[in-house]
Amino acid sequence: MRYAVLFCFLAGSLSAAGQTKLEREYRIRTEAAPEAARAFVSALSFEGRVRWYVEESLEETSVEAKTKHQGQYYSIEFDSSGRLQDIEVEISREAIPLETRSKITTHLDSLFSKNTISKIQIQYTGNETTLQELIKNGNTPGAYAVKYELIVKGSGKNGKRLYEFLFSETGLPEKMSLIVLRNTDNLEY
Amino acid sequence: MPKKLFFIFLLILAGTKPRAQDRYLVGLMPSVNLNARLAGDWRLNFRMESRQLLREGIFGAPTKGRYRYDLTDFIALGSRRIGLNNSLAVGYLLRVEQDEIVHRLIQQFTMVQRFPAFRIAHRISTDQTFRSDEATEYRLRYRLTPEIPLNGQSIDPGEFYLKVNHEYLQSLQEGEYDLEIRMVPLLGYEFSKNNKLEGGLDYRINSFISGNARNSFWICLHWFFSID
Repeated sequence: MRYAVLFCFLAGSLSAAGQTKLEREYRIRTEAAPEAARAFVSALSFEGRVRWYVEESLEETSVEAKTKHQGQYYSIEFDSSGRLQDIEVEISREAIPLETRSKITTHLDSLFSKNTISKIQIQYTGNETTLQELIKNGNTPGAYAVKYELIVKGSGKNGKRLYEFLFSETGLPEKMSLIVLRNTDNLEY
Repeated sequence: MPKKLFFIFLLILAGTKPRAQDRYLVGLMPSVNLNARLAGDWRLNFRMESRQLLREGIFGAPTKGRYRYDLTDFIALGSRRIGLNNSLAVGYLLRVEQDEIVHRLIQQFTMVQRFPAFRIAHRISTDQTFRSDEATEYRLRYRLTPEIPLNGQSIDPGEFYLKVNHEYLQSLQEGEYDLEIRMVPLLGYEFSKNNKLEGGLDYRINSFISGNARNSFWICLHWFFSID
């Protein structure tokens, strides 16, 4: 009887899994990444090992290359055909220009009673050649856009939560979303 | 790096050498965990876990292979999240043994550390066990649990993961002290965000400080189901 009950639970959960829509991220071999994406990353001559991931959502599929180079973490995102979408580099708070940093701080303080920035990434979008030159040389005469993506622990009336913010180059808020943390039941009990 | 640490744990486990006169038992330990999210940061956890013995004996001596039902635990815990990654819980366990009912009160604090490619949970707990014919047993426990995805940097539905529970349990009963160490490597599968199944080996060793060690090998299968 004990085993019959357990079997019924398992059978039910398997059928539920077949009805779930997938949004997932998984690692792929370098050879499985689009050729155009591999060529772009290869030209940057990163010192660290490059790991490739596919991110699938209901709307789109993207390919991401992640690596560490000269002490900084890089994340380069491409669409499924290998066309560059953006480059994100993890930076410190002090790397944001003072005026922009001040506007960001003021905005966060207006939303939360207490807040801590746990991660900052600078996001570059633009022409592939321009961005390649920017990453390799640290500067470029070409035009490109800059935004700042922040992960923030904020305390408000709903308690402490984790949020993702996108700010413009001048510190104007463009997007705010709540990060839903993964269930920890199997770690706590 | 986390995957390498997991396999080092397995090698240490495999290399442990029992001494003559050390006792052992082998059995099955299935469990069902039902978790319900309540208003605010409150949650309820209900767990049913049973143990069934398949074999027991002394290392080096002929074994007794006979199936025997051992016990069933019914546990209810109420927890509240404090901060982003921490939670406090209190609860009660009812243990049904062959010829005895055991009661236990549980208090625990859990902290989860989130890294880019894995998570680690630290759980500190105390419990008090009451039996009709024995003095109360007091225990202090610490458990370290790394959880490592096997595909990508996070665990998604339809993916496997590795988890290891490594726990130290200190026990005091009528002035007598004992230490139990547990090592539980598990392979998990996430059917959905609220539905996981984990299976593996739950190895426990106790009574080794002042006597012959007691080694337990439980083949476990744990199902976690959450209602949001």
